[in-house]
Amino acid sequence: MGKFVLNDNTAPINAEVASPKQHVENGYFENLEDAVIWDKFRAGDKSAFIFIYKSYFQSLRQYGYHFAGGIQLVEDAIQDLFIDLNRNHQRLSATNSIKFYLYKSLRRRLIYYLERQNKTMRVARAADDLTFKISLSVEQFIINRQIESERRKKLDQALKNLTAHQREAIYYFYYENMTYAEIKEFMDFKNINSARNLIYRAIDSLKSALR
Amino acid sequence: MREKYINVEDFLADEEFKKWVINPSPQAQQYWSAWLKSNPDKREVLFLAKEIIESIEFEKIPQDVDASDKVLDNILKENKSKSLLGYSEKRPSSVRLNVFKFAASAVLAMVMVYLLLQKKEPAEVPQVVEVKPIIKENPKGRKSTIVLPDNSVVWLNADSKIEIPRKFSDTVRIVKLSGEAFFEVEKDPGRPFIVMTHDVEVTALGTAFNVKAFEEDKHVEVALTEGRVKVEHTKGIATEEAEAEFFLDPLQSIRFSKIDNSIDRGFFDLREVTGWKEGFIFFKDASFEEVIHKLERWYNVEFIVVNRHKIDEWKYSSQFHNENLENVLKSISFVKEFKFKIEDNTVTIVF
Repeated sequence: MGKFVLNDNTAPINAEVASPKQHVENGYFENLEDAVIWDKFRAGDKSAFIFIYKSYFQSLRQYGYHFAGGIQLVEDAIQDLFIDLNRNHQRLSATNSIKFYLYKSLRRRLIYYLERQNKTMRVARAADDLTFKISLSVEQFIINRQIESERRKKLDQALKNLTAHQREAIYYFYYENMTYAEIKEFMDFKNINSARNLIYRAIDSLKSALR
Repeated sequence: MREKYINVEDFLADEEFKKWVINPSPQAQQYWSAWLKSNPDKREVLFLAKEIIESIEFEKIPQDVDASDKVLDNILKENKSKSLLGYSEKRPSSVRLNVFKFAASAVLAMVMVYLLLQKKEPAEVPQVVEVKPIIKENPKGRKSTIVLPDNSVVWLNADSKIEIPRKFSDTVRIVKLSGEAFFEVEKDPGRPFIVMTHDVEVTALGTAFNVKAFEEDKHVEVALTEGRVKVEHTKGIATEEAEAEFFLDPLQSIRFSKIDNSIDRGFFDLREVTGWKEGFIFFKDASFEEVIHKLERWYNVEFIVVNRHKIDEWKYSSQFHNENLENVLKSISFVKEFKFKIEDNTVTIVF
């Protein structure tokens, strides 16, 4: 699997706000490959665990918010996720992308917690319109002049009209820069065409706003 | 290559293109400027696609340093969240009416008295309150029977704890167990009954089954006596591995090892698994540790073992019915050749 490329907005080092721990500040882990840091954690290195937590907490919280549309449940899920990771560190599988691993684990857990919270076995998500709140940025259009304001409004509305599932896929594709193969793996699809179709259908819905 | 990109959509859906827009590498930069030179008529549509990708935004929340520290603190103390059970619910206004509707038997009425006694809030309360679950806990040496608000019955074994919401929701009935309990679930196809434990989750509609999930045990076991249940090995959710789901038929049991994650399925002897609630202690090919653990829970005693190294591998099988500890130990010591002494809550075994 390819590397889960980090967008500047969510890069873990930027998310690192304040870290009292020396080993984080002196940059020891920052120069290491994900796979190496992860292996250290799996071998029981406590400072690797703290580094991973500190590096990803804010971006996981942001991602979880996109997915679940609320904060409390997300912070609870992150808390329980790290407790379980820590407890089971010897049994975890290897990874080349800690971010991919953590995001996917959090997503899986949120689905599970939302199921319980919604108290129905069938509804697996929060209210659809609370998740992946998408828009066309305004600032971008002040600089560029390719899209006039009438078309911008239409596009913005077309994006907002996408299904929650489509918005989610759009998020991974354009925002987290995942490939179709990565989206397939991340969203637990059986084959890559499911990922493609989701993006194709989303783009298709934008067509009328584009012409 | 040229005919690949005709409309905006073709650009938008292309992995290489969006990768260049989001995270341009020098090679990609070179490739796309060369491409534009040879396809000048596509300039406008290419930049439109680029602009759309660059303009897609998702609502951001501000970072929260305090939350990061607070959550880390909880993680290091291993305080699990209450998300799974401590959910807020609108307070049911007619809870007493519902309660009496269910009160069909004396046993049930007693349980309800217990429920009401536990309810310490004043009669008038705000619309939304944190509904604390009822916790029923048996020490070693004590067993109990509990009737739930839906008329399902729980036999709770010694050294076991169960959390029950004050009122089941309209869509699902969830209880949380650590230790061992036998469940006779009232039929209600629209409202699954879920037993959550540290490692497994059992979902049933109307059925009877036994769950054995002591935290200190090396495995978790679920056994079905009638109906059908779904068992989920929830330990899987901490990792990328898919959650494991199993369905049991009557007299089938499933056992998950906490040590090597192995799974053992099979049929069981009804008395062996559920006999405890009628006062039977069963041992079948039990190891020394299994025997000791069971007796500790059953009789609320602690064992001191002298010359532990002399113990060879035990495969002990026997059954006792409402027998006192001394007789049980006499019987076992006769077969396994050890001496024992019972003093208050301590049993000393010498090999």
